[in-house]
Amino acid sequence: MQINHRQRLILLWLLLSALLSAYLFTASQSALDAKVKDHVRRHLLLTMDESLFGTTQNRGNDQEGLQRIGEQVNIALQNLVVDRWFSAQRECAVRLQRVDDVIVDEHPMHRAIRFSVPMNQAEREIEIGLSCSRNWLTAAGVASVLGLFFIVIHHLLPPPLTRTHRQWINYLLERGYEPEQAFDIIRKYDAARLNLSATQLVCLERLHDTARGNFSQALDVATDARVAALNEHQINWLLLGLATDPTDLARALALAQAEDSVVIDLTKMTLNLRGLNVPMSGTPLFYYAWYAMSRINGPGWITNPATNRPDRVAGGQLVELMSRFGGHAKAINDLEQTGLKARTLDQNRSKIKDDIVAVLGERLSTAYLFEASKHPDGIHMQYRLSSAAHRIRIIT
Amino acid sequence: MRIISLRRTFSKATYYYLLYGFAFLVMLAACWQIVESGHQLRQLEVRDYSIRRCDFPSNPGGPVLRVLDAVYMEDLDLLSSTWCQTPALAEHYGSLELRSVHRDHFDLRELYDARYQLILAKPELISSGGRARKDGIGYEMIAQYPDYGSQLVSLQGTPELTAAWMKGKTLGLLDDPNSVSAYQIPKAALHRKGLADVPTIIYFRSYRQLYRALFEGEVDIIPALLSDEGVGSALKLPDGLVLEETIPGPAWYMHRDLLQAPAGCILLTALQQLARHARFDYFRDLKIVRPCNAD
Repeated sequence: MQINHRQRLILLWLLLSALLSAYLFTASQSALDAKVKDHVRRHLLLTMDESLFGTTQNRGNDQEGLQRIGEQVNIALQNLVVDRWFSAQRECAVRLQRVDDVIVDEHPMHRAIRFSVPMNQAEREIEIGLSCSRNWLTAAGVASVLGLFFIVIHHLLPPPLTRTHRQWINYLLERGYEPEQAFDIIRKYDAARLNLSATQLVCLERLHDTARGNFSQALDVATDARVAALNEHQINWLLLGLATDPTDLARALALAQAEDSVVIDLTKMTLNLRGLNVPMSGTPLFYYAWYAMSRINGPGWITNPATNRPDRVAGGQLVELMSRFGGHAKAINDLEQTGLKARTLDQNRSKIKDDIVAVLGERLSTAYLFEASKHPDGIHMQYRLSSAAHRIRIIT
Repeated sequence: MRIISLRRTFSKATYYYLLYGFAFLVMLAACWQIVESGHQLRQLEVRDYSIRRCDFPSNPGGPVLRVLDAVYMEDLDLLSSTWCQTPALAEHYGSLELRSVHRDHFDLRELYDARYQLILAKPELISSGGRARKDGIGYEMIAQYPDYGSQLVSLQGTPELTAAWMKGKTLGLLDDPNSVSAYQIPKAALHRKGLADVPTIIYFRSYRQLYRALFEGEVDIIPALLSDEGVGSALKLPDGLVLEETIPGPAWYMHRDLLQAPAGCILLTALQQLARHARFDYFRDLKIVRPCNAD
């Protein structure tokens, strides 16, 4: 079970409070025992009648005499211990219970203190009983003050930083942040949140603009659980989405999680790649649609015409397509007159690439551009769309 | 780490938690202070616990009547309980202090200093004390208990001073070499017969313990008071082996200053009252040696 900083402090406080209470009670008990022992011993040395003790130990003692004196001593010992309101042990009772072998008092007491006194040529063991009640209020007071210290420290000082925190502070310092600023930014985050995957790191690096000082925003995005679930390819789409509108993470995520798709709407003369509109002028769009149709209907390879011999068949296909959807008259006329020339085809593919790269960038455009290979004749080049046929839709 | 400010120093876990450790140490010191100053002990009055004392409420501030029992009389509770209720004593005294002392710890200087108005002692003690001073001591005998004897008593038949009878038996003696009847005479008798090492001897500190040991079977033989106890006496013993028949009985001695004073007469009356209530016949038989002559 993971515990946070505050829970850790509460546990620490409970543990230390228990330790303090244990010390308070045991130390005050032993201190009181020592005081009482010394006090009573000195008193008995001054006041005990030696003649009550026999010269031969044990049976020689005057049992009745010692018992009578014990009663008197116990009267004198009443209220011996004067406690204060903060004493850890309160309402203490002290009783002389045994003198040598003579039991003088049988009140049950919490603990016994034993010592010896020299009486009538021999050491005599004395036992006194001590009973106190524990003052839990004092223990509670000590725990409360300790708790107050903890609260003050916790309030004044931020939680300690982990190695990860420090690495990130160094990261920001290396990028020109002020130490105070770097500290304030990083300490807001849990260490767990600062442990980024390689993909998240890429995302952060791409989003983080030192000049704008947007590390926090970049980190917020990079550490978003939905972002963390994306692969590198999707991250690229996410970044593309955010580049368009940095405030709309939801839209960027939708783009990142979308399927690759090519939608060519010839009725509206629009190209939509992965849901993203790619502006493209009419003639290149017809050429892109012509390649797309070829990809839908088969392997999709279209051989480039020879430079000195335009392809009239291909030109006818394009003329038909352009005529049907309002293509440029000059372009249609050129195709009708001379057929599809190699140079024209190359120019349009180049124009298509420029338009797509302008929107998607080099990296993401690849999937929507052309792949090339040698024609089986070994002389001419052939091209087709990289997109799979099932991802292409042409609206006519 | 390039962060050097104090605030950031404590951002390091070690230093940060050391601060909490310091708070703990502060509270530990506070606890130590609580422990050290939490209790005080009341000063106990240095007093002689063997003194039994009672105050006469009708005469507060009156002089103290000090009585010394140098015989270690077993019935002294009777004296305190009787005299503390005697109105006549309250007319002259504010309180009564009664002290019993074993003879082997008795300090003769207490006689010389005349600290007591009344003393119960064996005559040999008073006469030996008086020999050391030119004018003797300031006390005179006013009443005496009868002479008594010393005997050995056993619950297993009358003791015999023979090795055959004594062998394997246990003899209880008073742990007081000054005791004539319960130490000196029995020991001397054993020595005379060459039996000093035959019975096992156990010493007791009081007559009460000695008698109890006999009846509880802890010892087989004890030295006992030889007196004519009647049917009303609490001291019922079987016939014993008489070792000595005439030992002077203990006596009450009064300070000379009181002999002619009204208080002296009242004390004498109180002694007679005490004798009437004694549990043993022996102590009921108190003979007034010096009657009261006060006007």
